[in-house]
Amino acid sequence: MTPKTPDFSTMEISSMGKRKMFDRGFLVICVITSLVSIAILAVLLASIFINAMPTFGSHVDTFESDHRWLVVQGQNEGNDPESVDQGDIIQGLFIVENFKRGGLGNSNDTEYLDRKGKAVGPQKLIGICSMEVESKDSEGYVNLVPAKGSNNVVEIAKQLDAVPDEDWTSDLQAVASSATMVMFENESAEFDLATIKTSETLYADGKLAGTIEKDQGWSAVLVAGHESESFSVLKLALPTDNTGKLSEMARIGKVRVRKRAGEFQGLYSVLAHNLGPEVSFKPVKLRRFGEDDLCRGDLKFTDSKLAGLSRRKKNGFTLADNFNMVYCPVPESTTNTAGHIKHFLTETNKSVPSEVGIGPALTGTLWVCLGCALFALPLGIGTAVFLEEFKPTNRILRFFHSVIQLNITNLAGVPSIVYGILGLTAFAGMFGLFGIAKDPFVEVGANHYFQYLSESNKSILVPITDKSRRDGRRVDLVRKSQKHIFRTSVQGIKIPLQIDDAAVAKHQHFRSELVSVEGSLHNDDAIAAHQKAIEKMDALIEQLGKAFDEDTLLDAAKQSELALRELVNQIKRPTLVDGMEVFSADNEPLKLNVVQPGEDLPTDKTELAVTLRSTAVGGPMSKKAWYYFQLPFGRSVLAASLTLMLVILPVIIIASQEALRAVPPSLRECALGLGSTPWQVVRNVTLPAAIPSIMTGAILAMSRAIGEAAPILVICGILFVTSGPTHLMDIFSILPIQIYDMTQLPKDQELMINAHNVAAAGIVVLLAILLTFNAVAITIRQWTQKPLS
Amino acid sequence: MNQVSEPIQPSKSTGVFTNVVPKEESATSPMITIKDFSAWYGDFQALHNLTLTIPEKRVTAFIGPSGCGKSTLLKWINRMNDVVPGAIARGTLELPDMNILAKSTDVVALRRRIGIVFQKPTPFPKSIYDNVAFGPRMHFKNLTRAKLDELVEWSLRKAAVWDEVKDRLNKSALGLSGGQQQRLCIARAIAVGPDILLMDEPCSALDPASTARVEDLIFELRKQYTIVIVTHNMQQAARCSDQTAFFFEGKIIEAASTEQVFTNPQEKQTEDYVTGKFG
Repeated sequence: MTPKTPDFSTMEISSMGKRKMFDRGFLVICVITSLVSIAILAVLLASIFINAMPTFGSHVDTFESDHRWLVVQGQNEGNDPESVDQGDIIQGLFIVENFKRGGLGNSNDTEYLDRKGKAVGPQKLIGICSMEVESKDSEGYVNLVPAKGSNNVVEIAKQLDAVPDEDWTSDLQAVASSATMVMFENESAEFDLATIKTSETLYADGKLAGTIEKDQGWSAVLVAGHESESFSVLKLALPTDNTGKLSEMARIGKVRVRKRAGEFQGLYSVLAHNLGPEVSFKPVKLRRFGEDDLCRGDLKFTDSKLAGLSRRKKNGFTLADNFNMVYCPVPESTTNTAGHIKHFLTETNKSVPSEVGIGPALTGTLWVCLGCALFALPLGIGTAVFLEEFKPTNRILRFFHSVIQLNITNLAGVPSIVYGILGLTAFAGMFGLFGIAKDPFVEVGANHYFQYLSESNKSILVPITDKSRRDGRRVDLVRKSQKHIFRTSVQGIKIPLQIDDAAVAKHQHFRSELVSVEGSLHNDDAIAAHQKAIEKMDALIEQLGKAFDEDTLLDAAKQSELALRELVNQIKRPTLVDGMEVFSADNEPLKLNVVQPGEDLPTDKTELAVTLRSTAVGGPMSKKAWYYFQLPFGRSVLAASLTLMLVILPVIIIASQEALRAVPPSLRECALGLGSTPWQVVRNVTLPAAIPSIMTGAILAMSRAIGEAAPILVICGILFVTSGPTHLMDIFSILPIQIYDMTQLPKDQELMINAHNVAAAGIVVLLAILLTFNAVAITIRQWTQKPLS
Repeated sequence: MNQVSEPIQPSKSTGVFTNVVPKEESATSPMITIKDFSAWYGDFQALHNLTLTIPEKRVTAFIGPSGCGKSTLLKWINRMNDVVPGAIARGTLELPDMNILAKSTDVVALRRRIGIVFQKPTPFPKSIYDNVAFGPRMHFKNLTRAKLDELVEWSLRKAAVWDEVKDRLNKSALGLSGGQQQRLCIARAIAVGPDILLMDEPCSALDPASTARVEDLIFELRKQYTIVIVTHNMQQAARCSDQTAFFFEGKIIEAASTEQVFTNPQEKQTEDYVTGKFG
């Protein structure tokens, strides 16, 4: 039976019939999703900005950009500061009060007051130099300028309008000095600069004295003493001339003395300035952590020539009578929010949150990301065009085509840390095919020198042409074919051994003792000398199977080791020859005058400036041009750029392929029909039509690249870089790594700027860069999209 | 027979390209010679031993049901099938001075001589001017800006679209209507100076008014170009072609003057098709 026709006219129409454009479901979903997304975004931005505010905020009064106080430890005999007169040379330590941290600013009792009633903060050591009193007025104000031939601290000196005033002594930090430039002396031990190695732990009087970190090119070393009864000992050993005058420093790098549990109180971070034409003044900091009475830069000394400083006048320590001091308030200047932001954006990484800057990391990020974009975009788009527009017709080629396609799709999902190892091996190390980064196989645009201080404390650069002399610390590296030199360890003594394969095969049982192939020496002389030293060892090894005389072996080992050391020393130092061509710090050619030990120095000043004793100790340094290039790339900007390129290449390729696929085939046919070659089709039709979408992919990829920390961490691994890269082979740091490092900074409840504050500020900068990159890409997209609309 | 909705205007500005040939009714020399031509897509044979002569400066229409091989033949004439994987052809396909199928044939030069207009209007996402100038810029050396301007105007006038676009030459071509776009495509095709124009169902995506305009245009262009048009529209074939070839299952069933094919077909299949009994 067929159902009868329903009578639709009687049916009731449900309310669903009254459909609106925005019905209830639509509204609910819209409202929920938009609210959630907006809320997440708002919370995200708020959390970042709230955290970042203290760093950028105006309530942090001053930063180290202004120098308010200068304390001069005079070496002139007169105790009375009033006795300082025009033309006097004052040598010693300058401490400049130049900033106030939040921790001191937030309660009244921690503020210093100067005689004008203005608050001043704790002190900072900024430099060591000789100063000349330029003028002195009737009211006792003195103007100081750097003494000729002394360190260039013009930036400070210009601001000096100093007045000596005894009333202030208790307000100010006192420092002591002796003829040997030991600044803080309680118990001390002298260290020979030449003998101190990188990161060496020093012992003074049987106690741990400190840890020295020495960079290439240092010629000064800061030694921090262990904690005695109530204070620490700090000693700064600087090159001095014969008369004990503080000499012009060749270069003082960063000296950090790290805190060891229970052994030191402090962390002193001293940055002295560099010398030379291009070198500018860098502030030197003195800062301490630890127990309350020692923190925040205050120094306490008992039973010493040195007196201390309190946080307030009434609790101040009295200064020792025998101090020669000149106190010079420097005209104050103020900083504002813009100043803080500038500080944050330009300064280097520090160990104190309030002083942290991201300058080098910022430039590093820009270099790396720009380099990455420069490599990744053309290569990625080119690959996509090849895969999409030039598909092979041959069956075998089609198979390879699909294999490549599959690979690229899979690579897009590979964790980025994997690329870090890849980049380290392939770009930074180049599989060891070109030697190691410190001794590159190919090198363009670098000059290598040994830097000395002449007898009148001028910098002298002795050019090095012999490759093996460039870096004294590394001698016995680099594998040389057929001459395998093994090192083995017998009772803790490293013995260099030369063993051919036959000998190794013969003494299988000895083989397990052979550790790491370290390579061979560079020049033939060295190899010959080394050969002699180890001949005895060879003979012994030949007899190993028969009898193992431990003493004999050890003897031989010691002899061999000594010979090697001598060799190292020989290689390390350039031979100073009378009359050889050397360079000044300004790169002017000079004729060297060599004086033997015991001989009298020349009296003529100009000659003294180019005079070195034959025993002079120098440090290696290199001058690298902006186009400096080396193979392998080393842990450089270029290696990082290429690694990041690998990370984002699959993303760019896939996005570009999708974009090209979205171009209607009819366009290609039309262009072909007009007589275009396939390349003309791509260039004139397909690519222009796909560029907007490709740019979208590029934005995503670059966003990933900018934020990527893992692969770069493997490549650069450096947190403290003092300046941004100047050439593609330079070391660098990047923002994400720096931000991570900032979160590890010490947390201090008293500080207004805390670790997470600066980290958040770093993130704000990172986001700003990201948005700038995106804005550029979006502009390109809009610009290319115009003809489509 | 054609309602000329907008008469083709001779070039006012130059006079160089206005050599409009008066309509010739007499038979002309052959332009494309097809002999024993077969084509395959992989294992599938799309065309079987075709033999056909396409006369110079005449309109030849290919008609037939879908999948009968009309478009395949058209695409082989300017070697567009080169890029189709697995497309093979055997036989003779020749211009008077050139063997189209020869491997040594310069495909780019061939396609300059044989322009093609597709079913859907496909202007490039560029300005109207750049669309027309696309071909000349590619093929002609030392084109001055003035010469190029002249050429673009001539092409647009020739394609009867000048008056509609002359004020917006630098605007996107995608803003034009379908009919205008198709005429722009024709202008783009003739801007490189072809001898032959292939049209693959040029009006199937257009409304009747635009169709009429394109048909008028074809009628006009026939004075200067050899035109091959593929169409599903019997009336269109009847209206604007001089010669018609009826394709069925990869073979040419009948090829004769349009008048004969439509009024007095020799084959039963042709008659059935043109009278609408099948297809």
